[in-house]
Amino acid sequence: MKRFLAPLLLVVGAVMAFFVLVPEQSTMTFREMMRDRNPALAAIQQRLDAQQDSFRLLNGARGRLLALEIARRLPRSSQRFAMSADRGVPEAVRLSYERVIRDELAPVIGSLQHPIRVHFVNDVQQEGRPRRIAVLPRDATEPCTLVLLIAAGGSERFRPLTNEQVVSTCGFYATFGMPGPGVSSWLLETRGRHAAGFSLPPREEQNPRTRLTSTNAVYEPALTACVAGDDAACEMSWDGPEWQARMTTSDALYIKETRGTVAVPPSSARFLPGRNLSDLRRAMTDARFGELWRSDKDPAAAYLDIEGRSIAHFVRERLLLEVEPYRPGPLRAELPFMLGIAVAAVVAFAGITLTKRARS
Amino acid sequence: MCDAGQVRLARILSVVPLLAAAMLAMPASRADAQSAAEIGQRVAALADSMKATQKLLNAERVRQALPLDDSLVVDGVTVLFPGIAIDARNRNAVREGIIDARRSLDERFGAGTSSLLDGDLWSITFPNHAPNAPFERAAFAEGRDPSARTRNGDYSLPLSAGEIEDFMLSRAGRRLMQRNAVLDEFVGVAFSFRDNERQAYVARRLLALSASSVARNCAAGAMSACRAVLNPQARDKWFAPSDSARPNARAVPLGVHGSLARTALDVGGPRFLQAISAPNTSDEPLVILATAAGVTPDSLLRAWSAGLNESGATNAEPTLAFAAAAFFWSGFFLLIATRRRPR
Repeated sequence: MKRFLAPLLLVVGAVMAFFVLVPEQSTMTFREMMRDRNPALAAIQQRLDAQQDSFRLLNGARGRLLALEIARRLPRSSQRFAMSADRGVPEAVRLSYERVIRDELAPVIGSLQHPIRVHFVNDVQQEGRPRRIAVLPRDATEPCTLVLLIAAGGSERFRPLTNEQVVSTCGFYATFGMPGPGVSSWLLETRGRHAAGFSLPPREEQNPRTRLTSTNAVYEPALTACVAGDDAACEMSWDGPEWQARMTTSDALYIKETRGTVAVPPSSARFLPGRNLSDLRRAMTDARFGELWRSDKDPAAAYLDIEGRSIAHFVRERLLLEVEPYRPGPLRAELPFMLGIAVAAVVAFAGITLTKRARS
Repeated sequence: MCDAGQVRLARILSVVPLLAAAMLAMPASRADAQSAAEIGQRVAALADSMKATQKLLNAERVRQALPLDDSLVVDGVTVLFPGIAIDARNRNAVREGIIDARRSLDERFGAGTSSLLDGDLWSITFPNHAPNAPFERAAFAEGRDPSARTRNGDYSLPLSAGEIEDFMLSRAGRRLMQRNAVLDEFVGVAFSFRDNERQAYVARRLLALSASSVARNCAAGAMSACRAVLNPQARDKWFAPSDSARPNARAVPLGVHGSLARTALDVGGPRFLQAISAPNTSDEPLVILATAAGVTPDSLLRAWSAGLNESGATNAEPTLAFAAAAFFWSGFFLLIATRRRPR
């Protein structure tokens, strides 16, 4: 039998080695696949891309300016929480968003620390899903205003997405009141991008399917370095130049004129894990976070003062949750290999026993 | 040389509108203060430019598209394609795929089922093809309009008969569901005559990983939960009050519905194909499917649920790689264990 076994093993080993050692063919990304390789078409596509980029920038600024103008001219309400809508806003859309807003504010609606105003705009230039823009108050007398731009004559089918955040930065005002000077200027400088989500679901409460299908959050070198233990990289990830650069590419127009507005991304539930105020709030007690919110220092410095440790620790701990392996189902991935070794051990034991018996 | 010149010219021309677009946006960044309405005018102008460019792109696509100057007619299915792109090997794959699909439909689901494909007209185009480059990806689209961007299938060359067969079986499934408006809306494109096992496996996973605890209960075998999540009219029962999903969220994707319809086909056989066109006696897709299959809704649900569980067991079987690894190491240890020791 040994005469056949050795060559057979060699063949199987060679086949296995072939599959292990031969490099995988490079797979095209979806974008590469869809890119036109005809130069004449590619040139027109490039032109269209440039126009779309300009459109996105300009339309983004328009929405912020519009929200700012509307927020400033809305009549003052005596109520701590008020909602209003332009004529023509589809009722079904308005009601569904109102329900989400009430749900998000439910824990604090009875004891609002700052007045909240919500206004639905019938926007003739808005297309597709509603846009949400928070207009931050300049002082304690102004409400935090959430403006929703609804496409005029648009489809009534638009509803809030699952886990969509609507209240955004205004939620922090509603819960903790006016921020201190440090946090306030930090919000203005960062244009509220780190505070766009107010009631993010913690990772363990997220839909497992979302966790499986969402992109790996740790894909940037700085984040990887942070997870690996580099405190400086963690601090830079929290509030570093990388975000400033990203902000200027997507939000570069009318920065000065639109100061004090926060554009809320549609899926803020998965937005900037470990680098947003909502995660920070979750990692601290409400009392301590309130202290941070009212601090005269920026959040990173205030966190150091209050918690006695660098913000780097918080960023790393949160990112580690993102890279935590998650496997659905009852079996562990290692199980087949462990079973393989067990089978091999049994066979080897049987072989040894049989050999001993044959020799004795 | 001529091509290179054209490419250069196209590149130069592409810069002009880029500059124009940049100029359109630039003054805005430098302006001191403008109202939202003023910027809105600029946005509207840009939107018009984009529409014009998109129109130009569409026209250029039509102009650059390879002519559909060749065709295959196989058992009532016509496929148009650029003769230069589809060689004899690919033609054979298309031909065999269509023949296999028709045979499979007739043999497995009753004679005459393949008539679902009768009169189909398909175009194979190469939308991303660069001149003088080898043909790589073929797009299958219904009809003969080369500017149509809706692709029903996208395949790498060389085409394989198996791919074309699967494609045809999916399209036959779509044709069948289109005979019943309620079911068409219920399953969309998620119904196919292909083997149900993979679809059932995916459906089981989707149910088990749903945000809806009702759907997860269904995956665990609770029939009442399955009936609730599979009923489009029972939206209020899709999620339990404790679920953290918004009211507009779907409890289960269409793939799950497709798997139920596929089970109804397996249960009902040829009868299902005939009965599906009959007037509906209910608005509930489950009842319509069960009636067409000739069983009660509960029986259909039980058959479907059993199919889902079986698919999970089949997919958990060890792979060939695992078997090879186990064999290799077993043999290796055996060889060492039985080696002859020097005396």
